[in-house]
Formats: sequence, structure tokens, C-alpha cells
Amino acid sequence: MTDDNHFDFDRSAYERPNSGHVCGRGAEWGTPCWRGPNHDGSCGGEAECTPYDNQGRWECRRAQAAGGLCENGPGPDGSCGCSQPPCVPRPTLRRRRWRLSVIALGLVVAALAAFTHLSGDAGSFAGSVRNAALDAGELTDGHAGFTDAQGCKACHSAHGAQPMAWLASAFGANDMTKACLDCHTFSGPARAPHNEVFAPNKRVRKTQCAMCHTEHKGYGANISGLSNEQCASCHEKSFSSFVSGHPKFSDKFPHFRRASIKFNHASHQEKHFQDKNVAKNAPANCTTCHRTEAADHAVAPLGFENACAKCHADQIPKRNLVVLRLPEFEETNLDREAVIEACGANPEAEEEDEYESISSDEMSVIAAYMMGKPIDDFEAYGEAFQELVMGMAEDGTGALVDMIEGSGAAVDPAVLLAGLNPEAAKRMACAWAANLEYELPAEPTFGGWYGDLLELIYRPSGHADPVLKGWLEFAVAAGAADEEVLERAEEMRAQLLSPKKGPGACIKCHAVTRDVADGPLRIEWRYHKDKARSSHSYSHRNHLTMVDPQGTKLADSNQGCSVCHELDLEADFEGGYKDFNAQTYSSNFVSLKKETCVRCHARGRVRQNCQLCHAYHKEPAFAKRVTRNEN
Amino acid sequence: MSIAHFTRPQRWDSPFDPEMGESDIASLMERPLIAAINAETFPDNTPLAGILQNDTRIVHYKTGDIVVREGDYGNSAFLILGGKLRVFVDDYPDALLGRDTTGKKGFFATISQIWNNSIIPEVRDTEKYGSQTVRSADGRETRSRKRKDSNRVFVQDIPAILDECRTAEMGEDEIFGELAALGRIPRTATIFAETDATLLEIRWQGLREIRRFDDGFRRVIDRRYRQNALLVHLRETKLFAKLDEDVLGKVADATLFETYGTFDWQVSFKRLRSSGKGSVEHEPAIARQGEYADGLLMIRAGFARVSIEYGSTQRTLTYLGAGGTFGLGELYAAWQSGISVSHGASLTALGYVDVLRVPAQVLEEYVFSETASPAVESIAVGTRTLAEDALLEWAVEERFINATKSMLIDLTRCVRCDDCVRACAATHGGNPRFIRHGKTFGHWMVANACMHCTDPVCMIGCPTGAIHRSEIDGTVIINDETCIGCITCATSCPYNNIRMVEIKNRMGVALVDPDSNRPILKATKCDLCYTNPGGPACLRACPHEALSRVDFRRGALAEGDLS
Amino acid sequence: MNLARTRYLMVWLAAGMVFDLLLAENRSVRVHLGNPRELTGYWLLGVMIFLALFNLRKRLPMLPLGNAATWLTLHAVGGVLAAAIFLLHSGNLWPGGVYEKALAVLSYLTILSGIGGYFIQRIYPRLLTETGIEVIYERIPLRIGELRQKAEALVLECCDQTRFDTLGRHYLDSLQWFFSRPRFTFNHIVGSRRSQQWLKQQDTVVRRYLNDDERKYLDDLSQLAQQKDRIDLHYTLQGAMKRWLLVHVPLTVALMVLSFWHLLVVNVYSL
Repeated sequence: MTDDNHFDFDRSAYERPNSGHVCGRGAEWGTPCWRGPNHDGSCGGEAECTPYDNQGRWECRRAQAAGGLCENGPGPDGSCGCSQPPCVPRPTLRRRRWRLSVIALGLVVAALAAFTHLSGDAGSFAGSVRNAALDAGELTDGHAGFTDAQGCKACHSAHGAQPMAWLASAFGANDMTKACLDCHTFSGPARAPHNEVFAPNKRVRKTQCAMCHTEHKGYGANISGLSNEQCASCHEKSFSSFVSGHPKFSDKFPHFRRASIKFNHASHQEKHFQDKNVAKNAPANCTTCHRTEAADHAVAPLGFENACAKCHADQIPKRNLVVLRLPEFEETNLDREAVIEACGANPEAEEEDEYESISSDEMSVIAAYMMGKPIDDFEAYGEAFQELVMGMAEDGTGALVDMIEGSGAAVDPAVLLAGLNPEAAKRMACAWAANLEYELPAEPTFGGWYGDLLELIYRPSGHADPVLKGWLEFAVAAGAADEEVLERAEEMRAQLLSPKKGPGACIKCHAVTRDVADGPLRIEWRYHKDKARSSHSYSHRNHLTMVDPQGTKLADSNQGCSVCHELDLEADFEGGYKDFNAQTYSSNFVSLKKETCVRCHARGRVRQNCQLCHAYHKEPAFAKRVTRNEN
Repeated sequence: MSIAHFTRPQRWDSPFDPEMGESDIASLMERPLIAAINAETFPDNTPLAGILQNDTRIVHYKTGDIVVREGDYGNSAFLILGGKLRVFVDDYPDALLGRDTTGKKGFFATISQIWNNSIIPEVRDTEKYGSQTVRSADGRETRSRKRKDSNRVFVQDIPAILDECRTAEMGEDEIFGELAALGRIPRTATIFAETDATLLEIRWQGLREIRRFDDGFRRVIDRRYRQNALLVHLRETKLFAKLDEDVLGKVADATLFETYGTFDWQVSFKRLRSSGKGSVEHEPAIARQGEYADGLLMIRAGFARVSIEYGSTQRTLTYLGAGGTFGLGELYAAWQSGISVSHGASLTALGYVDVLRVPAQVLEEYVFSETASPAVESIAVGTRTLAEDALLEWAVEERFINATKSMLIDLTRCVRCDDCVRACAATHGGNPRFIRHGKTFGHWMVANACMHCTDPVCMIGCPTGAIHRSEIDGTVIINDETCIGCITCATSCPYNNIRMVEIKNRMGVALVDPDSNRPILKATKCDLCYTNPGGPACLRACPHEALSRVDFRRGALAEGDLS
Repeated sequence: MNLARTRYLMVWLAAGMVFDLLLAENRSVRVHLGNPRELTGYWLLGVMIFLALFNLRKRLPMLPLGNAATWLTLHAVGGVLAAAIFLLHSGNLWPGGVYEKALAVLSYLTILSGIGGYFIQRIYPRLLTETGIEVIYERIPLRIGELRQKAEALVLECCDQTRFDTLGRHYLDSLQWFFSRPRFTFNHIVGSRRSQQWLKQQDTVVRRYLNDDERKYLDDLSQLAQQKDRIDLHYTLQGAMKRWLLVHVPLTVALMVLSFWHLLVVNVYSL
């Protein structure tokens, strides 16, 4: 129940909640007047009524609600007898709220205006205050350092522009990628996915840097992280994790290309290393040859000297290179006198009326090629060869050099004839010129040039003999447009590059590859290391520390490698080297399956996010320096 | 202690017209209708002559003056002494009566309130005020369409009206207006003076006495009532709807009229309460619990309380208004079973009640056999606690029963933000039309906003008809242009829901009557935003749903439990 | 009550659905390498503008724009939704960048003031009803003035009639301070009954020094003081229910301005 009963219509007037002012006396907890402030905020209660002149008498006209006729009555001049000094009306709460809102608006606008109009460079206090109105947060440490000089303009082209231009840039799309490419480069188009060139396809989107990399996330933020789903959003085959849905590894993975050195792991392990005679030289386990200290995406084997020499070193000198062979002649064109003048008289030389060639052999393929003569055509090559012999008899190696150069060889004669003593050449030539076999004083034991009866041979001194290498290079590069020449070159190559019979047994192990169809051949002298690709990366080093689910340590020399690499005894390893195509190849090892990786990279085990193995960018690099120091 | 002498006020201390003199009375006595009254049956303290002298007056009307308006509440009857009057048979233009003719605001008008609402309180565009003479404090005058020496709105173009509308003529010695005067119903017709006319205006007090003491007069009055209104009333009651005309006539003939309580209950109500006699025990009883039900009681006007004995006093079950019936269930059960049934509750008069009693025999003979079992609403207490009924009990006590749209504010939801008052002001040119205070009960407040009563006592006595009831939805509206600020309505309202305001012109200067230097007043009150699309703005504006416009009867309240 | 609960339930449900939708969209955009912040940012702006429209709706009660109670439900739930979207948009509780920190501070203050205001508007009305009286806030100075006059008249009459000035002197020492203006405001805000204690104390302390006649006056005086105390509670609580908006609304203005600045900067520099 209420004990206030002031509801009477003549005692209680309407309340006007929209009015802006209240009586000042009331606001100070005095007694407010009943009239209240005027609508313009001035005091309305100075006088309680406006007295009425009723024929000379002033009458009070105070309203009933205020108490009706007052006791004092009007003054003699008609002024109200109940006046009081005016109060200062105070604003109502509602009006104060309006004022506070206007003030709040003004403060914010003023602060923004002040901040954005401060001049000064970014380094000074004023500049940093200005940027406070625009600052969106710290840059990552990589970007924070170098942007100081240019400031925000390094990436945001609209920064610092004139006001209208600045405003106008709100309405177009910003091309932030352009700014990024000032410093960042890739080995492919920057705005294509994976920086790769794809076949024209409507579904392949043009990419912007900011799609994945957003800045202003703080000093230590990771701005390169991408979730599996984000990768999957572009790729047609979408799947949720490596374990569930990631496509199987391709059939030959990772052995897409044959090794440069034809080392048959299977035959070696199964047969050769078991052989009693060589067993002591055999490597104890994988890591004997594949040195894990240098492991990264491949575990490179040791070189020939350390890995192969113990067994194979002495095989090399056993195969000689026959550079020249005295062929069978029908007749001799040599002038006896000239020969005697060059060589001196040879007591064994017989003067015979009928010439009978001491040799019944064919020319060497090298000579055949170099002279450009067919091997089996006596007449064709007879004169040329005898001339060569004559030349050799006179000055030793000069004629050979001429011949080599004359054939358009790609290799320098100095390399090809290195170590050939002109004296020996002369003596050899003199004997042949006298239609005699050249007899060696002793059996060749060291590497080097030897004349042997009817041949000029080169015996390789050991692995990587440069002379022999030069001759093989010469053979590989030989060839011309002319069909005949080409045929001879092919014959030469067939002999020199034969795995079973080739000189030095080089090609027994080194692959000969034609990289590009109709391109040149190439002997793969060095261990071929697959170039690490950013699109999928694997590091043996990181894995060697691991222990597989069965408990096998991957670094274990005996068992570790076979956790993943399993020998395929059935594979036709040799067959892959029968052609010059490196891609036709069956590896000694079973190709790696996804199941192998899944043993560890599965749910609840090791992480399996896309970025673990696959990097997005293609060989990212920089175009400008990335440090601040100028030293 | 000093004693101040003061004679007790008498009934006729303020006669209707102090100037009624002997000669007037003498000439009146010769009138046929009055001559037929037998003066001897009147008691000594209220003689017929006294009634004529004090409760009647002779009024002169000029050509065109409107005597009564249809829909108005009036409390006088009229006897034509001379001249011709016209009564409208069909529709007539509302503007004729000084009614407000504005409809709902259009879209642009609504929107323009945003910038048109004035911060200055109670601004009026005085151009619209017609020819009423008003003077602003700076001396300019305007005129309004009222006679200088009277307060009547008049018809300006009689021939045109007669051409356009159908009217009937009324001449000397005809009586009219007694239905509204006695029956608390709105005037049923609009009557204006075609020529200069002289009328005898009998106020209801006098009318009632004459009717009470003179059989002949009563029969005249009752016959007129039966002829004009009773049949219509019965026909509109569902129970009798299917009866044919002559049966209905028989029922009408048998029906008794009863009046209980005081006519001007709002005046006596305050007096009785302060003297401690406002409670239920002092209410006149129409029917008592336990008494034999001898007839169906139909409430024609006013309110009656339905209550049962409870402890040493009565407990209110509900209240009935116009159209309500009492005793139907008992009577029907009695007819079916053959055993007479007594009333299950008491019926007492709240203020003023006009009751029709249809005797049980009539019902049994003509009505019950024709109709199916009537659906009677059960008004038993059931398992309700006193607390659950307390609000209703209090509402009856405060006579809020009158309300159809009382503003009920739930004080546990109201955050006193005044959004409702602001909304009201926004729809009324910046001026609110109610105050957020009023009588409270528990956590309910009935605010001082017009409740649009079923029995609008404020309307009785408005000299210009400015306060009227919209026939469409029952909203009580004050037409600002015709209000003359006489404060009759404000004084009459028992709930203090009408307020007088001092009006100002557009400059903010107060408008002042040049003759008395008193400010011009206008009566204002809630009008349920009848011109506003969307209905009452206060309802829509409360963000906490604390405010509702309710009728207090059970079932008519918007929310469920009110405790 | 049921209508209000149902409405709240439905709006919460709708807001939950909107937020779910937004979360899903957000995730989808992020996975497809779009800019999720753009999405959540514009949604946040939209929700904020809708919240701000509430003030506009309150200023246009003459137009049929819908029920204010519905608007309030939408505003309150929308505010929580905006808070959620804000956290989704910024990604963390404390962003980098000076003006973005200012945005976060303004947001948090606005949200907290809104939640605080909501709860005091649920709790205080009941406390006000329980005082048993009702008074219009703007008429409080008048009421207090009346009580003060009555109290002073009472005390003067007491001194006059009983010829002792004990009560008068005590009044000057204690209750005059009390009747001069609303007191114990802080206690009323936190719901403490300190004022009651104090009044009881003032009554007890002087009672022993008064005779029976004076005690009658003291009883009346204490009655007046109790009425004043109830009015004080009304002043404090009704005032609080009006004053919290003086915090909330200016904050929202500042927040909106700064948000539009943020929109502009983001579009100039990034989008």
C-alpha cells in the first residue's frame, strides 16, 4: 500500500520525462518550486503567479495545485508577492547522458584526428603516436627489422598518401602480394599455387600471399602455419589426415631414376659378399658404405676408394684401351729410305720384294673413327694409316695429335695423350714401319702407354684414370651429322662403352645416360644425388634417431635400414642399364610404401600434418638483404 | 477551542436553476404531463412543487442549437414547452456534434511527429480553435464556433442538414431524454432545435422522485422504456434471442425494473469510504445467498458484486457489469428437477445498478422449454487462496471494476525508466497523458491513466459534448477543440485520471482568458492512442513488459497468475 | 511471465543458431584460404548496428516498429552474441596494436556495463516494491523537503509543548543531517541495512533522556525517518537504474566511432 496519496488531478501535474532541466533548488536538496524550469532551461519559478488587475485591485492567480490564493497577495505594483530569486536549473540525467555521449564522440574523433595528423617519421615519438591510430599490432621478428626505414609503406602502399587518395584506397582491393614480392622470390610464378605452372585449368586459383600469411600477429607468431584442411581445400582429393585418405605413394617411389653407379645390392649381398675369397673385404652392414654422418634426404655412400676399391681396384688395370692397332695392309706405301732416315736402320728389317703385312687385324675403332675410314676396307685406310705411322716415326706424338684434332674431338689431345712418351711412340712406329712387331722390353705392370706388338695401348693406372676418362668422354661426344661418321662413332662407343669389355671396366659400373631424348650421352662419373625438392622432403638424419614401433633403432647398423628399405631380389636391376634411359629402371629395393611411414605417422603417434613433408613454395629465396646491419 | 457554526447542507441548497420562480411553477403545473401527476402522493419533504422548483429549469434554445447528442451521457430529461425540435433518424455528420472526426494518422503524419513534437508543454495551434474568443498573454485574439454567452455548439446550416439527413419532428408536450437520465445509458438520439424552443430540463434527481411517487408518471416512463429499449435489450440477450415477437412481448411485459445504489456514486463513494461505510456489508443487496431464486437478474447498467459468505464477512467471487446475468444456473436446475433452488451467492450493488428481473414462471413457461441448457459460467471459489483473489477484491473495493483498460503496472518488473510516459508524450505532440503513479496493491500499481470505464461518470455533465465515447471501440475521447475547460469531467472522475492543462501558443506564451486573466484550460486524458497506427504507445514501449491495459475480471487479464 | 520466458528462449535459440552458422562459415572460409576476419568483422558490425538501433527505436515510440520488450530481448541476447563474435573476430582476449587495444577496452566496458545494467534491472525493482512505497524519482526532492519540514515542525512543537530541548538538540546533531538529502546511498546500492541500524541507534540513544510526552514525539519522528529511509532507497536504486546508462550509452558511442575508424583502416590497408 502506498502512503502517498497525492494523486488528485489538481495536486499532481503531468511529469515530463523528456524535459532537459530540473529545478536548481531541488537539485541542491532544497524545496523545489512547483513550476519547474522553462523549456529553454531558465528558472520558471521566480514568481508563483501573474497577478491580475481586476479594476484597480491586483488579485493573486496562483494555481490550485500550488496552493491556490497566497497569503501575501500581489504587491502594489502588480508583482507577485511570493517571488524568490531564480535558481540555476540543473540538467536532468537524460540530458547529462546526451552530453556525455557527445563528449565521448568528440573525444574519440579528436583523438583520431590528432593522432593521424601528427607529422614526423616513424622512428620519432610523434610518428609512433600517429601510428597508434593505425597500428594493428607487432610484426613478426622477420619483418619487424627491415620495415623501420620505410615504415608502413613497405607493405601498405596507401600509407602516408594524401587524405582523398587514402580514403579512395578503401574502395578498391589492395594488392599486398606485390609488396611481398619486393623481397621474396620463388623459382616459379609467385601467384600460382605451389609456384608451379599448371596446365590451364579454371579451377586453379590465383594465389595471394595474404591468403595464408597474415601479419601483425605479434613478434613471435608463426605466420607460415597451415592446417591440413587448408591444404585440402585446394586439392581435389581431399582427405582428413595422412593415415586416412592420403594417396598411396607412387609405384616406384623413391627410385624413379637409376643410380649413376651400377651397384647391384642384391647380387652383392647374396653372392659376392658371401664368396670366401672376398668376404673379408665385404662391408659389415649398410652403414659401412652409406655414411650416416652426412645423412639428409639421401644417405650418400662413400666413394670408390673407400667403398669399392678393396674388391674392384685390381679389375681396372686389367682392361686396356687399344688406341691404335696395326691393321693389315695390302701394300706398303712407306718409303724405305725415309723410314731408315727416321728410325735408323733396323737390322731385322728384311728387304723383300713382296710385301707381306705382319698384321692381319682390323683397325682399332678409335683410329677408324678418327681417320674416318671403314675398318675393313684395306684400301681406304691403308695409306692413311701408313702415313700416320710415318709421322709417328718421325716425331713421335705429333701425328697423333694431328689425327685427334683432325677428327674434331671434343677432348683436348693433351688429356688424351697424356703420358705418351714420344720416344716410345717413335720406336713403336719404327718397328711397324719396318713391318715388324714392336716388342716390349717387359710386360706392362704399371699404368700408362704401351706399345704391344701391333697395338698402341693405354693401360689405366687405377680408378678415375684421367686419360682413359678422356678417351671415354671422347667416345661419348663423338658423332656428326654424317651417317657414316655416326656409324663409326657408334661402333667406337659400342666397344669402349661395353660394360663387359670396355677399357678400364669403367662402364661396368658407371651408367651412360641420355638425359634428353635426342640429346647427348653422358657418362655418370659421380654419385647422383637426387636434388632435394621442397615439394616433398624427407630427412634420414631426423629419422635415424628414432626407434620403430617394433623396437628397432633406426640407427642400428644391422637392422635399422631394413626397417624401411627392403631388398627386392627378383628385380631386374641389370636390365635397367641396358639403355641410355635413366627412367627405365628396376630398383634393388622394394619401393617405399605409405604403410611404412604410417607405422609411425599415424593418429596418436607421431604428427602427420601436411607441412611435415610437403613445403608449399618452390625454392623460396630473397631478392634483397634481410638483415638490418649494413656491415 | 472555538466553534465555527455551519448549517448542514440540504438537498436543495444548490437548485438546478435558482431563478425558477412561482410563476414558472404555476405555468408548468398546467402542462398536461405535469397536471396528470398527483401532487398528494409526494412526501412533505419533497413536494412536487419543490421538485419543480429545485430540480428543473426552463431552458431556451435558439434555432440550430443542439439539445442532446447521441452517445453522450446525460442526466437530464426534457419536456418541450414550446417550439419545434428535430430528431435524427439516420446517420448525421459527426462534426455537427463537436465530435472529434480525425481518423488514424497516415504514415507521413506519424513520421512527422518526430520533428513536430514540441519541447514546449501543451502547445496548441490556435488557428484550429475556430471562433472561441481566446487571448494570448500578448493580446492577440482568436474566435471559436461557440456562442458568446452560452456554451453550446450549434448547427450552422439547418436547411442543408434537413435536406441531407432524415429527421423526425418533435413538438410541444413531448418528453425525451429520460432513458439516459435514469438508465445510465448513452443518449439514443441527437436532437436539435429547428426553431427557437423552450424546454423544461428535469435533472435526474427530480425525475427519479416523480417517478417514484407518481404511478402514472412511472407508467408513462416505463411504457416508453418498454416500447423503445427493453425489447431491443432482450432481443440482444442470448437467452431470449430465439423467441418470437409475441413471446418476447410477454416476457417484456412481465419484466420488473429495479434500481439500486446511488446514481452519482462517485460522489458518495468517497464520502462513504472516509466514514467507514464503504465495505460490502453496506452495499444494497439485490439478492442474498440462501434466498429462493425467484427470477433471473440481468444487469442493465452499473455493477454488482457477486460474493459468498466467508467467515464473518463476504468474499468477492467476481463482479457483473451490463449484460451480466445472475441466477440462471439455479433457475434452470430448479426447472429441470422440479425442486426450488436457492441462490449460491449474494448480489450487491456497487455504486449504482439498474437491474431487470425476469420472473421464474415466465422463464419456465416461455423460455426454458425453447432453449437448450444454457452455458453458465461457474464462479465457485475452488481451491484458490485468499492471496490469489486479493487483487480482485482490492480492485472491487477501489471500484476499478469500472475499467476496461486500466493501466496495470507490475512493480517488480518496472524499472521506473518512464519509457511509457515518453511514448505517450511522443504520440501526443510531446505531452504525456498519464502519470506513472497511482494506488498500489502489493506489487501492482493502477496508474492514473484513463481506464475507459464501462460507466463513464466523467461524461455526465459535459456542456459541449467534447468528452464523448467512440462508438467503434468504446474509447472515451476528449475533443480538444470543443473543450471549454470547465473541469466538470476532471472533478467527476473518481480515479483522478483527467487532468487540466494550461495551453500555450507556438511561441510558448501562455494563452489567457481576456476577461478573467485566468489561463485557458483544456481537459486531457489517455485516449488509447486512437489516432495512432499501432494502438496504445505505452504498451509497446515498455521494455520489460511491466505495463498492461486490463479489465479486472477474471479471465480478462493478459497474464496468468497475478499473485 | 511465460510470454517473456518463451520469447527469451526463442531469441537465445536464434542467436545460438546464428553463431553456429557464423562459426561454420568462419571455419569454411579459413580452410579455403579466404579471410575469415573479413566475414566476422562485417557480421560484428551488422550486429552492433542492430544493437545501436535499439536507442533509435526508443526514440520513435509513435511508429509501429514492434514491441519494446521484444527489442530488449533482441538487444540483450544480441549483446552476448556480439561479445562472442568479437572474440571470434579478434581471436584472442587482448589484441595487438594501440587502437585495437582501445577497441577491445571499449568493447569489454560496454559489454560489462550492459550485463551489469541488465542484472540491476532484474533485481532492483523487487527491492523497490518491498519498501512498500512508490515515489516518482523527479519528485523525491519535494518529498524529502516535505518530510524535512514535518520533522522540523514536529521537533519545534515538541520543544514548545514539553519545554525541553533534548529532542531538538539531538535532532540538530543527528537527524538534521539525515533529513537534509538522501543518505546511505552506497549502503543501499550494496543492499546493506546500515541505515536502519543507524536510525535505530539514534532513536535508542536519545530515548532514555526523554519523558513520556517527548517520547511520543520521538515515535512520530522515527516514523518520519523511516519514511525518509524508504525514499532514500528509492532514490538510490532508481538512480542507479538511470545512471548506469550514463556509462553504457556514451561508451557505445565511442565504440561505434572507433569501430567505423577500424572499418576504414582495414579497408585502406588490408582489404
